[in-house]
Amino acid sequence: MAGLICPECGAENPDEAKRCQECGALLIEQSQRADEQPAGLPEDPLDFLAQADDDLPGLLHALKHEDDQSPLTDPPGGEESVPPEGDEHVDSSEEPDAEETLPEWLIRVRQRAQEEEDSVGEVTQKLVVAQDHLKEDISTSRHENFSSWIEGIRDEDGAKESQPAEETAKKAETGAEEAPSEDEGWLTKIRKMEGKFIEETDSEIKDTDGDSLLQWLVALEEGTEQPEVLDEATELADGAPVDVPADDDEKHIQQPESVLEGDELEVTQQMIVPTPTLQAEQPEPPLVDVTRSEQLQADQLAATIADEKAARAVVKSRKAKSTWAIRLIVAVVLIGSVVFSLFFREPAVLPVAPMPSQHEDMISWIEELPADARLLLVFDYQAAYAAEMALVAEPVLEEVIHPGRQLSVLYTSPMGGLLSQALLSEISADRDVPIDDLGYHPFSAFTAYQAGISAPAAWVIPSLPKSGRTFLADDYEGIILLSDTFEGARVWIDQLSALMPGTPLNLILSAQAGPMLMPYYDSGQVSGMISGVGEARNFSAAEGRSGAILIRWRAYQTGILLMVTLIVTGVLFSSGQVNDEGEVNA
Amino acid sequence: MKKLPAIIVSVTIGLTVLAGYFFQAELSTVLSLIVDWGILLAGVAGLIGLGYLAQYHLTRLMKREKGAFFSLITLLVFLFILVAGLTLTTQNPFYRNLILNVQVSVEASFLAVLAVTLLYASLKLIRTRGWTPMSVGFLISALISLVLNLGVGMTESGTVLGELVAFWRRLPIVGARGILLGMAIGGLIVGLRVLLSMHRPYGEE
Repeated sequence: MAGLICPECGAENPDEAKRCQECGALLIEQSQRADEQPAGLPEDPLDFLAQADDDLPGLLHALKHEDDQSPLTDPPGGEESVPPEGDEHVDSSEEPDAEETLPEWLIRVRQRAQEEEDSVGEVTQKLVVAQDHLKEDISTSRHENFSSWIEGIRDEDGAKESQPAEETAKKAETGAEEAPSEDEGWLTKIRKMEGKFIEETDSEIKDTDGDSLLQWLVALEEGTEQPEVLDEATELADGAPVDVPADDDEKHIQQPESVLEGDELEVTQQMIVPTPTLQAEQPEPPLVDVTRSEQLQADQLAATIADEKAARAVVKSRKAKSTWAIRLIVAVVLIGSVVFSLFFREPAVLPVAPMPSQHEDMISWIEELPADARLLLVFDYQAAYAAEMALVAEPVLEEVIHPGRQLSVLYTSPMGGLLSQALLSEISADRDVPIDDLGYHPFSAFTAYQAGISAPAAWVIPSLPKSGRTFLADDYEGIILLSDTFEGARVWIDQLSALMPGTPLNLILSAQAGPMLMPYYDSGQVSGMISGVGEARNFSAAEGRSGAILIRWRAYQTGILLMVTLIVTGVLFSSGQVNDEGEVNA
Repeated sequence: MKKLPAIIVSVTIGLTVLAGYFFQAELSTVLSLIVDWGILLAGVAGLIGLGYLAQYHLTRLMKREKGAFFSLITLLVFLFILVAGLTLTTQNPFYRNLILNVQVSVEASFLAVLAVTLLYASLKLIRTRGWTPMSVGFLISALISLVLNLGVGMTESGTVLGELVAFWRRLPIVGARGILLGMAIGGLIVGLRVLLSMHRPYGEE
């Protein structure tokens, strides 16, 4: 105690003074009353939080009592009160029991706080709520320090309670000497954690993350606690959402209040208000069982979204100009040129061009065919290519179809029947050639495989039904495949070259399928082939034949020339647009 | 457990068909029967698809949705062709000319539109991608192929021009051979996966 305060004038007087040195008022009652008053509790309840050094033991004491016993009015016997800190502590031997120490008003307040949640005991409620919340959040490591500290106090109290009464009494006698040293240790830790020692380094500050409630208590004790903290604690206890700060700092460091005294900047206070409870409220991510395919789909979706958001050169859309006149002129020129070219026939005798080897091989095969040869014709093209295929196939079939030979026809496209009839009727109209229609087969792979394995059966299974079709009942001298696509022809080549490598296979192809199938000719799997109108024209010239190819060839050339012209013109025009816009190459 | 019969059937048939390449005489009867069953199933699948298409257009017609008029035309033409095909057969000149003169013309027109679309797309390539090595190479390849199909430059082999033309003509074969090798390896791997039941295209994975 600093001295006696005069009740009349408020002047400070020495402890041994009996009368006020200023006004002469009597100080004896004031001095006696001060001696009788417990050191740990303030006289005025409103000063409960303001008097820091005296309030901290009371609050901690109340915390321990609330955890250890439910009724506040029934404190455990023999429990020692928490001594004050530093040089202002009061010996535990001189401190009365808790029941005796607590004033009647405080006991009433606590009782009412237990009975009514919204009563005067707001501070006590918040203490209880914050502590309960701290207990529940055991997963947060920062709280474990404080919890373990609280548990340590409880264990220590429990151990003390279990001691024999004699030992307790003995300790109570010697407590005046031992308590200050023990209490000084933990209280010093509190002070250090609290940050009152300004020489504490930043790393040490980080180590105090888990003592949030303790720091908050001391801050309350010193009257520097901000009301937002109390509000946040209440919200957290109620489960209400709390705005988590944008940065991930684990604590808010309130800058120390500086008081300028003369030329020195004295740091009077440094309060660390950690926010571990805010992060502890964040729900843990749920455990989701994700399969590999789902993960791949998610990754693909993420990659697609990232690709869509990627920056690209933007081509400005320009309004379509009225180019209908230009389009009309181009269309008239195209159609007119092709139609006009149809009136110009090729000369009666075509110039003979150098013959590719695949043409020569096909001609050789045709020339070597016996007069009564049996041939299989496979029609594997769509109606759209009928005109081109007819032009290509006509010169070949004119050489193949002769009286005395037998033809078998099958088709793997729905229109194949009609297309084959249309083509063969023109060629074999004046020739007596029997044609065996083997029908439509929806899958080229099945048909080619069945054609290849139609060898005489060595084993006869009595109860097994017999297939109604036999493609190769007698050996064919050759197979001619008419196809418009690379895939259709490849199936036949693969199957027949594996199952019946001795049977010659010749191809009549569209222009788009020829280049892709040339490797099969080079490997010997195909005997001969002809593809496109251009090669058919050369074949006709080599055979000295005339026909529809002479009429169509000019139109064919005209059409290709127009295509080349359009491409070159369009490229140049597009190049000018690119240069004008100047953004495509960016 | 539901997949087990499908796996057994597919693997058994696959192995039998594969064995047919090596034991044709011994397995020819069984293989012919298997192929016939496969063709029959494919025909049934085609009928199911046909019925589904007819049902779709019927639904649109009954609900009077947008484009129901075209669905009506489709159904009428379908019924007419079906009845004509069943009664007249493909040997009838009227039926044959009806199909050929419509179908061939329509498909050829679509193909011509496709050619023009591809031409326009090649021009758009320069506008969107600019002058890059790929776009320039594509256009040059297209032009060379078209010019070679004109029949020009058909000279005797042994001359410089003849060798140059032959080189350009055989140049696509290089790419075609690479594509064929890739397809062959891919087909081999898929076939092995199906035979070993690691890949089941006939049911859910």
